[in-house]
Amino acid sequence: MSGTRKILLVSLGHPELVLGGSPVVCQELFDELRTRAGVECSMLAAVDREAGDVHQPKAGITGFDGRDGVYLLHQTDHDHWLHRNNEPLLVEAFVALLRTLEPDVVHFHHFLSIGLDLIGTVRRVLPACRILFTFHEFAAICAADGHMVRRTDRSLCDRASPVRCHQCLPDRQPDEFMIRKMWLDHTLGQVDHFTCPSHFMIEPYVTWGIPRDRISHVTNGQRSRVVRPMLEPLGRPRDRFGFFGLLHDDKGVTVLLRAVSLLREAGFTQLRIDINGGGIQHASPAVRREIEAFQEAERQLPAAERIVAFNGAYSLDQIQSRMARVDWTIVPSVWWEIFGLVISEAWMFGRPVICSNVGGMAERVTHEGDGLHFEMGDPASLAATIRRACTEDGLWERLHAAVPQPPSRAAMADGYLALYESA
Amino acid sequence: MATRPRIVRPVLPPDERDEAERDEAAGEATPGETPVGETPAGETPAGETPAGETEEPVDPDFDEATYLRAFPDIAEAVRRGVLASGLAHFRQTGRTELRLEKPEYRALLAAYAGPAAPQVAVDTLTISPSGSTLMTGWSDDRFDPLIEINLETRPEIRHNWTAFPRLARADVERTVDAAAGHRFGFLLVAAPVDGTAIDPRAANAPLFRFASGIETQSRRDPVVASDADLRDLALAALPTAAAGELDPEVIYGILDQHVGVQIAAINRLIIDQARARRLIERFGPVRSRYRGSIITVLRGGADQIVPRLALAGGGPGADEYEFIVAVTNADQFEPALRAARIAEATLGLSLTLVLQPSGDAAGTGEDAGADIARSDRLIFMDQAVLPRDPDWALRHSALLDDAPAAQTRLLGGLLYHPDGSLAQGGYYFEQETSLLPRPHDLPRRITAVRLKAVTHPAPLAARHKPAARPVTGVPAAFLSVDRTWFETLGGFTRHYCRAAHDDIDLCLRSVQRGVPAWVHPLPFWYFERRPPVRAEPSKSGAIFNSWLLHRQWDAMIVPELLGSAPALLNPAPLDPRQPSQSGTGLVPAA
Repeated sequence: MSGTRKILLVSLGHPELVLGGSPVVCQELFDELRTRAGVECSMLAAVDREAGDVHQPKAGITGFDGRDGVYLLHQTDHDHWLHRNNEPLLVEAFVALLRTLEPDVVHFHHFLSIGLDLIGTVRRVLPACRILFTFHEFAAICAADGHMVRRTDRSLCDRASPVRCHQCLPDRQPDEFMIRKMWLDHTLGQVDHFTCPSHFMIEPYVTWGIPRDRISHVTNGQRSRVVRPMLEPLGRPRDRFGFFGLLHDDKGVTVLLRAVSLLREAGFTQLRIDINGGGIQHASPAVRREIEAFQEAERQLPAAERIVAFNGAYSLDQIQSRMARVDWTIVPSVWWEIFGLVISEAWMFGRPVICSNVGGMAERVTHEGDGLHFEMGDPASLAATIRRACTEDGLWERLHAAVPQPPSRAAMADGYLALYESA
Repeated sequence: MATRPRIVRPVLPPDERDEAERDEAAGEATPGETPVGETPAGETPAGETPAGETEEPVDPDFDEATYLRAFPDIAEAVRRGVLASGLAHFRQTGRTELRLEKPEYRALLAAYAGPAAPQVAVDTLTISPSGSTLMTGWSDDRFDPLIEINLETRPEIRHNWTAFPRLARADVERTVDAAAGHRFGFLLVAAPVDGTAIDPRAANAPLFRFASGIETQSRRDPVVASDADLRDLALAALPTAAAGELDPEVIYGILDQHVGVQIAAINRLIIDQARARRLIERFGPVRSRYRGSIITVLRGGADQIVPRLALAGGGPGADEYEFIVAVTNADQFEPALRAARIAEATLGLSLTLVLQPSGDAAGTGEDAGADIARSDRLIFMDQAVLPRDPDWALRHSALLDDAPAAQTRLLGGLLYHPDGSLAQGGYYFEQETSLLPRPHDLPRRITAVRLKAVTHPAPLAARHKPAARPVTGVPAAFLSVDRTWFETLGGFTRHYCRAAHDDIDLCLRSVQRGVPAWVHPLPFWYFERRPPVRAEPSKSGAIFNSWLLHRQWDAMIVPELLGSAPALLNPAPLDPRQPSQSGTGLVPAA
């Protein structure tokens, strides 16, 4: 083997074409690895109809916009139950790409829209190739969105079983979940090493069946988005809060809106909430109705009485200006929230985080250290936390001073390179 | 001259046999020599002149059938046996009563200008292009028994029925105002006479012959159907034929009268026809020698192919086997070919697709797989069966290498439900008595030999692994057989509907030759919640399958093969780990 290590990253989507955290992380890793000596990195991003006209369903694999080392896997006829491909052209194109690039390492970020069968294809075509797989959520364990939130009562789920999963997805028989597990065991069994961006994810995956010595933690990392010095206001209460993210159910924006209602009913109105984000079309009808009804009621109020502003979606280029308007970032997710890139983004700008007390949020944000926790899903708990944040002297300054720098993409790349080398 | 290609003379129960023999005797008599209605020698019913005595000449205007049709009271007396015949009545009193001059008699005589044929109706006539035939209908033959039906399917070739089930028809009884008792209906089924295709639309004139020698032809344009559809129609007709009853004994009685053997022949024909048309496509690497050929019949969508192959063929040792997937649903041919390309790219297995359209998926697919297999070992593996251990193929190979040949010539594994309970640990027979509920009547007690599977409710982890043992049979869900032995036995018979009992039938033929099947502790998952591929969907089809199994094998089964550890297979004292006689399954060792 030459001194150059050839790495192929396989990503769920491209960050310029679809929303989502894992494409951003994969792109960051790609960009960083391209700067490293002795590494030749390529990226294959799966795209589907969400990518608009860029998606060419009969094209198999193409380049992307003339970018060096970037390819698009044009997904079509995908089996979203077993996460596998039904289009042979696509699989054959992947084989051809493997034979062309001859990577030493193939690193899969997710299997959604990519296909678990491509893992076995790597093993068959390039038997000596090292295969890494990064879990960006619980999609292997949980067939219901990969979030491990029970559809029966929205409680957090801690384990999968054919009967429990059937209760969440009653259209699927318990037997089907067993076959799905066997299929996942078989395909993921060909992976050399697994990673996940939060420590708390390891235990559920080990319980599920991943050998403990084959899974480890590698943090997500990002480049800094700070492009100019932040101008911190002086002499005013720290009573401005921001929500950043998609407006779908599990992000918990309704918990925040209900907390605002409680505060308003209690006569506490000296605060402002900025809702930054779009994607309400992905919310359930009930959540969508609730958000839209709140938005309409807010609009009916005199400007001086409004608390919540809906600012719409934003790009990463706009994040500094959005962060500059707030003192705190609220992450009210009602699922495990695997890593929470928004936490990293808040930290880039020195914003303490108020978050649900579970999963990746609780792991990263230290309660009373660099941020505050509240009881997940409880508007009253969040309302009390917001009130405290607005009124407790010195709290913001203390927590702000302790906000850490978020993990860099270089740190992330170092973590992965160590695993690439350990073949 | 018309040929008589098929004369079916089934064994009938004694009471019906007597009746049939009487009918047959009457049918074989030459019209004119033995006029209908004349009493056989030696009998002298009321009003009949004893044999040998001088008789008055019969009036040339007298016609027995017309006489009885014109005078229902006389016909009823004849039916009840009070009078020997209409002629007897005419000689006794009819002549003096001037019955032949009565308007009702003269009108009928003028209308038919000869002896009248009994009324006949064909309700359904269905024919397949190969010549299989299904006909239902009825005849008011109370006074002139229907003895023969012919249907010309093409010049010089005809179906000929001289014995067939007669069925109670309440609707006809009401129509002709007859008391219950006479069986007006008939059910006719015939497999094709030979392999030549016919024009089914030309077979539209069944000819009915009665004991008097009278013949009548009824025109009926047939419905054209495939052999499989016609077979299913025949099965669907059985409950009707049995007056709505699904009492196995009643349906067995109908099947015994030629219907059963004809359906069996059509079943075989369906498979043979499909065998003639197939496309074979091979994918992946080719080896010079395979340890075995794993044959699976696709059911449902072709999207199952890749995951199933990955799970069955992804473990160590599986590369020594070839995989054959038979696709019998034409809608899935193209998706299956696409799936095979994906399997070739992602799995690298030796895979053969057999595309073979057929109405009987299991039988056709399995036979197709066996036909093209490239090894000395055939392994039939249902799509619902998946290996519990990835190294199953390695263990199967080791079994073939290490176990005595007699224990591996025909073998099965242990099939477990997803919850860990034993779903199938081998077939056995048990004699059971049950009560059959009957409407408006007391239940009927039925004692029958039933085919059962060794099962156990407790998960495997809660008990010891059972030892290998001989069994009466193993299911085709997982059946591994030495190919030479399979061919020696004649393969699967394919006489059963949808291959339902082909597996136990094969195993019984093996037992007959002194080689019982063995169940070995090779564990598999059995996802049988979905309808099994060899399930017979209709109740009457299931009864047919049961009829065929028992008519062929009961003599051997009872008593030597009864019980889950039959004496024929287990001459030695029972091992405590062997299945209990109760059939509840494998008992943990002490």
